Amino acid sequence: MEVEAFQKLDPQTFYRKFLSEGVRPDGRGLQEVRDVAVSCGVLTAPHVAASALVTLGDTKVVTGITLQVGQPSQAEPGCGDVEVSVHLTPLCSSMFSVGRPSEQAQALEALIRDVLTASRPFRREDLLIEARRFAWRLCIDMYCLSYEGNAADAALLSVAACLLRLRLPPTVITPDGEVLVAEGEGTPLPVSHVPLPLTFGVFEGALVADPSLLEEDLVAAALTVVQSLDEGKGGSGGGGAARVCAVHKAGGACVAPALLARALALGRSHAQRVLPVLRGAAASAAAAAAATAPGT
Amino acid sequence: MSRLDFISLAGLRPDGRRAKEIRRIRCRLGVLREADGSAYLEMGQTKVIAIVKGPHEVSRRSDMLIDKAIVNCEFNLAPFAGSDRRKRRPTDRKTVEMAMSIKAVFEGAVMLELYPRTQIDLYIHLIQTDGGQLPASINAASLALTDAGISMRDMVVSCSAGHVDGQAVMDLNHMEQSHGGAYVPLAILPRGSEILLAKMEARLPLDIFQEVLATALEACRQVHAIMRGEVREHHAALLAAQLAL
Repeated sequence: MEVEAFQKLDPQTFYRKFLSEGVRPDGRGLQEVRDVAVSCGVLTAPHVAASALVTLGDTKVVTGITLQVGQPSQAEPGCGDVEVSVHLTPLCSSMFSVGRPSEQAQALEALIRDVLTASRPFRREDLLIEARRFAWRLCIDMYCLSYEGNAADAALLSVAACLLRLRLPPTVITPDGEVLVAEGEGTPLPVSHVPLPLTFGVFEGALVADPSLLEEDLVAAALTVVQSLDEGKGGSGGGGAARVCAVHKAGGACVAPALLARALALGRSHAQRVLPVLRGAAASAAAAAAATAPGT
Repeated sequence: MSRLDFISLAGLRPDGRRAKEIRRIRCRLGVLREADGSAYLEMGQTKVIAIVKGPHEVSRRSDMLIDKAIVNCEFNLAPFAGSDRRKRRPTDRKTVEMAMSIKAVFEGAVMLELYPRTQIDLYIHLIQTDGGQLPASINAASLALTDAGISMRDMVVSCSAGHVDGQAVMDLNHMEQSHGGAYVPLAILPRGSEILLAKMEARLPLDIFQEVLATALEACRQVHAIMRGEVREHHAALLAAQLAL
């Protein structure tokens, strides 16, 4: 009882005492990330091109990608479009309400869109069906099912998992200028690298990896680093050289450049642990799809 | 189609700058009489007016914090600011993002705990844009807050850096920013080179990212020297006027 009162009355001091002992209120070490589980192909509706469910501790998000045929924009006649919508609804936490997307949801949408369009895990040119006329529009919808902190990492991981499973169906263009989706397997979207995120909270000059809901209120700033690993290419064995795909630090408390470098290093070692989980989930979903496919 | 060279053989960029050179910065404090603080700033062809109101009573009581001030930021991109005339609504995605970023930066820099139960409004008007919207807006807001006499941990300065044609370059203009390479806007507190805001979304090897980051830090320091000079000059003039009375 006394402990609970302490936590309620002075959460900052409560948290500081924990961190000075090198442990967090939920028993994790400062740089310990909650368990990540990924499953691909959770949505089985035929119009969903790819889907994934990611759990990060108690945070759960499900992402589905649907494909629409659209017209390429005039500025980029050779590219398809990517549309991201993030739904943080009362379903996942009482913090959110129905209606207009919250600032947090908008910030998350912007982060995902920027990672996908600027770090180019896939070429948007590959979404083209016919120049200037038709291109696939990737509609990425992310629903948070349970919000226990760090939705950014869960969201980015689920989008990455979807991309690994995304296939573009074969199309036929009719003489009167319509695009019909033909029968058949479709071609997988070439994914050149998998962007792997890690978010930190900054609390009095210390980095805490993967902040929980409780910690998100306490930390003075959030810092997200997204990196990719070169897998196999270039012949390097274990892990390979990482590339930085995105760094996102929006205001809040200050971070020394040295701390940013440390966050990048920690993010890289985390990426090496998470990538096999993602690849494994994609592979087992592929195996399951092959087993249930007609004709086998 | 001919490919554009972003850095010529002579090592010059399309607008005649070298790689490690920022655009001309001109700024003035106290441009509006009615506001509590205001500033006008040009970074090359990007021109911003920032206005500060407050600290004043919180306009929506439910937002009030008993131990510190709240920051409210409105960002407005004039319809005639860019190359194509376009009116943006305040709920426009880019507008909201920009306002959120600026707000978050100053929540980290202003000593909010000195102004409990109050609100500080920042109005940013971008009247001409040629890349580097966010850094220019942050710099202008920083000067306006200085003009309003609101305590900050240090004067926030901001500048961008990028990576074009295999080189790290400072302070990108619109053409360099939109060609698809790296664009890293950075906002720091110059005294300890502490990073308030950093954004990067291109895919870069780690060592190049570090180089771009170092370039951005250096660019911020150059901006700081100019802005500090302007603040000193402005206040020297104020002091001289007061002594003359």
